Amino acid sequence: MNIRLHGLTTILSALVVFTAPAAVLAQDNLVTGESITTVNPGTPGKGGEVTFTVTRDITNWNVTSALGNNAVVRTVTLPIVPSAFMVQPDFTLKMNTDLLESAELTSTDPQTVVYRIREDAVWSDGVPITGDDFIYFWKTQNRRDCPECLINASDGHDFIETLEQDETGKVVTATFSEPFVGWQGLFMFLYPAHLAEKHGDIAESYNNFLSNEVPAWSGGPYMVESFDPGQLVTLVPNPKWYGEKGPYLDKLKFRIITDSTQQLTALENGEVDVIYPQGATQDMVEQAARLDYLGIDFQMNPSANWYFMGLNSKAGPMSDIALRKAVLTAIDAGDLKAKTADPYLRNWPHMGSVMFLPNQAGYADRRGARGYGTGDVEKAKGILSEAGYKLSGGSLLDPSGKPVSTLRLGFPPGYPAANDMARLITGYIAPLGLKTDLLTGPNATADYLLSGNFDLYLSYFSQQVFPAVKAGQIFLRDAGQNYFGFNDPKIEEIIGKAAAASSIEESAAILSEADELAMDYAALFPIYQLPTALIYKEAILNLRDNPNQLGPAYNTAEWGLAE
Amino acid sequence: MLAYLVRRLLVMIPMMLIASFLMFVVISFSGDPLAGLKTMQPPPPPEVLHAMAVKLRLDQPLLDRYWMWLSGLFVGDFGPSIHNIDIGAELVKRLGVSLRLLALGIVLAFLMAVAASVIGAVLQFSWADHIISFVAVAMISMPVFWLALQLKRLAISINQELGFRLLYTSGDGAGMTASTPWDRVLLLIGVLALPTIALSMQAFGTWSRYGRVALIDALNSEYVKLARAKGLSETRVVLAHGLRTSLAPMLTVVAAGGAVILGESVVTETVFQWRGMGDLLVTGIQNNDVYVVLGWLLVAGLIIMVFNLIADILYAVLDPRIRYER
Repeated sequence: MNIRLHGLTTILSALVVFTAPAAVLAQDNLVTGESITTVNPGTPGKGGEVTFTVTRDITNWNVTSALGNNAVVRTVTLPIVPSAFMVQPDFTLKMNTDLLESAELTSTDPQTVVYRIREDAVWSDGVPITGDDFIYFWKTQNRRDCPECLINASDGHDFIETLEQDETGKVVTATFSEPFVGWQGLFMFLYPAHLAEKHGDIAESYNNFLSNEVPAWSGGPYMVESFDPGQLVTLVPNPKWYGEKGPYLDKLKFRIITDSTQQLTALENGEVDVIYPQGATQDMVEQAARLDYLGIDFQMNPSANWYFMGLNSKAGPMSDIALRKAVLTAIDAGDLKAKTADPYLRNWPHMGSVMFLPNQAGYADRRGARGYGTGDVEKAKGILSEAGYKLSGGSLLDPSGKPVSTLRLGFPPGYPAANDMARLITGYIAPLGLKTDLLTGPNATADYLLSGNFDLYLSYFSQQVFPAVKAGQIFLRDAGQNYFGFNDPKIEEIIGKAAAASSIEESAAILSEADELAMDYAALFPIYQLPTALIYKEAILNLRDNPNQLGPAYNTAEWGLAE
Repeated sequence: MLAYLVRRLLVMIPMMLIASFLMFVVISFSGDPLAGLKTMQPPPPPEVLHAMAVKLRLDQPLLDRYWMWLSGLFVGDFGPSIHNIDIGAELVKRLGVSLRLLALGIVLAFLMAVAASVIGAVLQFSWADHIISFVAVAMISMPVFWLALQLKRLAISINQELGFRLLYTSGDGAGMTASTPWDRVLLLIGVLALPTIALSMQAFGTWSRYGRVALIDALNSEYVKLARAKGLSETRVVLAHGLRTSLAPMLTVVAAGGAVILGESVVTETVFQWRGMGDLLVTGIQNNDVYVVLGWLLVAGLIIMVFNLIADILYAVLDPRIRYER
């Protein structure tokens, strides 16, 4: 069974148990389907408006830049900016057949990919989309041609050695300096090179024109008609849209409501048609379930974000692997989930891996296999005893006889579940003679996680389509998100091999071994995935949750109203 | 009076300088402005983080940064924003939005408070006085955000009863269109009603209590007894003699309460999604956008000082016994 469908159906039972008055309604308006990629299907009529709610203002329109790379800019610009491949709701990649005729791996040594752009693919001013646009984007991202470009991450574009186009501009050949399994994740956003060149050099056009100016261009089904800062972005159909379907709507609006708790009220009052609040809460789910009488449906799924507890293996008491393993063994993951997720996400799947989501190839419950998360205090005590620790007067003494210091357990604010988890974990490890100081606040991430001023830290990671790419960001010694001190050459070697594999399946098979080693390292404890909630008027067809980084706006060309 | 005004204005300069320095130091140590970028998944390349640090002057010593900021203020430069916001222009725009809400809220609260004061004082200890007193105390006790949420629930019920959307729960009207003049009026009412009521209620409660006491005092004074003895009508006695005198302390409270209502507007704007000064502060803090927060505090400080100055001037104008010459 698809894990997401499993999640969807079990939410239903949760609502039955915990929200008795709303439960019957919830059964009516929680939408499930044969597949997460086809749920809520239909052939819409032409015309009408849909207002989608987003949670922050737009101050930078360039989603690939450091300051524009957020969920809101992605959502608003997905209908405008064409992409070579699109991440689907089931976390697979699909070639954008509106833009490309094909994208083929034609050689593995050197790795070579040939993109064939459709003849009729044009920008909104009628200029064809060509290899120029691919080359411009590659130059902004590869860190060689434009070090001044304020990008978010090169995402593997730096692996492309040369990028050439034929005389028609419609065939683009990328030759890689080294094999890269994530090639399908490249060119996720393309910008009009012919307009960029009118706005200075690459850095100037990238950092200013594409970032600070409201796009007057489009290569997607819609284009911007107006932007009221802080309030509303209005899109209208792109008259030069070349795609097979849509757009169906006369107007697609994005209303900015920065306070998630106010979004549902706006939906109930008919001011907006769709909300996709960040961090769905129990209260929100219950309220959504009660809006059945207004024709409000909702979809919920486990997202690509997963909670973890990291252990600081670089310094402090957690630098001893025996203590780390004992702590992870003493944590009762079942109880943790039952008390923080199950009240509204019943039977929500566990996370048993630090490199794969439960629905990704390569996933296995490697957490349970090691006895982590079992809440087995006696086993944990045995690990400590074997390593020379002693429990004396309720306190734990390290092998040299000194008391183990109080553990600094940090977590960011704004996540009620993390707050609850911190308190529960304190209780799980107390029988080992361990005490905690709970650390949080508006600057918790900077003050504790980034500065290494913690022993344990609760937060979440965002998984990517290519697990090897994400693993490279967490587990390599110099990785930007290696907050917990992973320092294992073997893990690095395997991640390198997985990143260079010829297919995602082969990559996953290789990476599984690194997942095992990372779990053995005992510096990262996976808990469970955060939920997404897409709440909307039932008249909107083909609107579906895409619980990865792209969000529901991945298919706006298909959105429309039932006739 | 003029000398007093000049003196007060001159005193404001060193006060603002000291306040600005304290604000700058506190805000500068309140967190890493690049923390949001550093914790992105994945974080941007080190060169990008360095470029952002230079842009935000984080490579400069604290005192140099303060001087650059302070000297920039004299040419309208409020400093760099991490999110490319033109802080000066944004403050002006946001202030306009907030003043619309603040002005309406203050006027509504004041008019209601005056009416409640007159009824409460003239009909002292009557059932009407008791009801008004109860409502006023309830409003003082009620947190603004809670009242705002209840108003939203009420608005949804009203709209559903009416069968059309009269009242809006979010947005300040920007981006909303209406085809006819009548629709525009309805839209204006629909957008303004809830936040204005939410913002004015606490002030109404406080001011009406002050006003009632001040009016009762005034109506019991010797000169009012004389006015009555002269045969003036009770309406004239209350409005021309009692109310005018009682307005002095009440207006002082109103002016001094400007700071309080400015604080409440932060909550009101957040709940009703108005993009005014309150929203600017909240997003500035969330984004660790240091110079946005500094600009906000500077403007807020100025507003509070101006409100206090107005209070003192009004006091003198309304009560001829008060003179400021030494």
